[in-house]
Amino acid sequence: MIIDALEKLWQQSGFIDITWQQIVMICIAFVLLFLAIVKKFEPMLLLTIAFGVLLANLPKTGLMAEAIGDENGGLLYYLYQGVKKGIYPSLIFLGIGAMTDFGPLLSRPSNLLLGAGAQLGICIALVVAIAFNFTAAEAASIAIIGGADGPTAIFLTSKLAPHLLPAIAIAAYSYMALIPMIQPPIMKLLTTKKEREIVMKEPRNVSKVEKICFPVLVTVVCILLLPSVAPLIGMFMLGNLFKESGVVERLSDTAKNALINIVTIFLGLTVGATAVGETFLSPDTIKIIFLGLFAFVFSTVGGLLIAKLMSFISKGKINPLIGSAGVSAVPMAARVSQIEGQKANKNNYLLMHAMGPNVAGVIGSAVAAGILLALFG
Amino acid sequence: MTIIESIQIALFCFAVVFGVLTVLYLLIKLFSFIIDFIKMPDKKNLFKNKKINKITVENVSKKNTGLVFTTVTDEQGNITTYELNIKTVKDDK
Repeated sequence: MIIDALEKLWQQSGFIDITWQQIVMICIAFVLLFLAIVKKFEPMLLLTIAFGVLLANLPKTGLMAEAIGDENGGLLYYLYQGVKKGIYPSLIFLGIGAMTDFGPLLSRPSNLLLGAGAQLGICIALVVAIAFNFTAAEAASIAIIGGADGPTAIFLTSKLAPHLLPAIAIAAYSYMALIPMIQPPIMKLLTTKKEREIVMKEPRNVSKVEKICFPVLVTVVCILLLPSVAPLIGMFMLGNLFKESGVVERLSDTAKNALINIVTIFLGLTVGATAVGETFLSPDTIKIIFLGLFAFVFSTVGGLLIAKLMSFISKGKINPLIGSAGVSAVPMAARVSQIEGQKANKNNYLLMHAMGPNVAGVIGSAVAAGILLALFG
Repeated sequence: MTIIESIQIALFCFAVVFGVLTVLYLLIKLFSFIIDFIKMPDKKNLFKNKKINKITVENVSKKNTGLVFTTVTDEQGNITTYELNIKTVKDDK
């Protein structure tokens, strides 16, 4: 009797059905959990993604099971609809908008060009991905990793190549976390010590009126030019208007705290849950991870080259190190510019100057995503 | 898609990103010019090309170095940053 019960329990357990791919994925989940908890690499998302990977690869849970007929689907299947329909990335942009200060960008609008230059990696990675035999839609989704903007990468991939979502999301967030390691060697390689020592002038004060009008202006111009960017730019600028208008303090507070935290949990968990061993462990994943790094490196190069050009034109008034902050990863990339600037000159405070290209990069990558969506969607 | 086509699309994409952000740059410049113009107390002098010596102190900020800086903007919109030094400290009594 007891032996029969134990045998039945064993038959119903996950141990009997577990595959080698699931074991590998569980190990990957452990590595990601280690990186998030011990190394603190983008823990907000990496921890939830890692736990999603773990849950999705434990057999017989049915968490991602589709709803068929009268039978209900799994919990994560329903939460995943927010990713599939592009809802979560837009809501995250709402929260990011409520946290963003466009003051540094408005005080020196030429920073927008640095944000545009830092999209170079997207374009180069697109060509290389096509050379690697990816389809145009897949190549566009992979290339957007170069924008260093997680929500944008997820938004575009969920529309163009949903089957690549886990690999692209994990690559994008991992490289964003690795910015302090990826960018400094490129920054040193492309700039001279004299350029790194340049101390920039204090930015001008930006009036409240400018800060309130900017999100409205960007919304109108960008969406009229590229209607496909409306979900990202629209939400981003609405969040910023909440903050700058000063009349909806509660909405601003909700967007930048409660809402973004809730959506981050759902997004991370469900993106992780799509990383199922059978599909994730393929040569394509390795190619995506390589291409992501390639895109990231060239985006940094693009930002630095434009900054060098601006430094030359302005006769040394601009420190080229702020160009690398044109990749969106806010505020990590700006912090790297600050650290490298201080290594060259202890009295160099580049953080506020680098925040301009940093937020310009967010707009730039959203615009790039809109173009790719318009072309391949 | 061939490599040549992908290069064309990549160049097009980069050009459009640059184009959109350049349009935004120009609009912000125009917008800040309009705002400055509206805020200018004596607009007539801009056209008469009169030199104005009046200056306004807009901002006093403290940097991490402990030094105190002040940003001074004149009527033409030129910004100069000065470092302030305290030479003597007197007791209030």
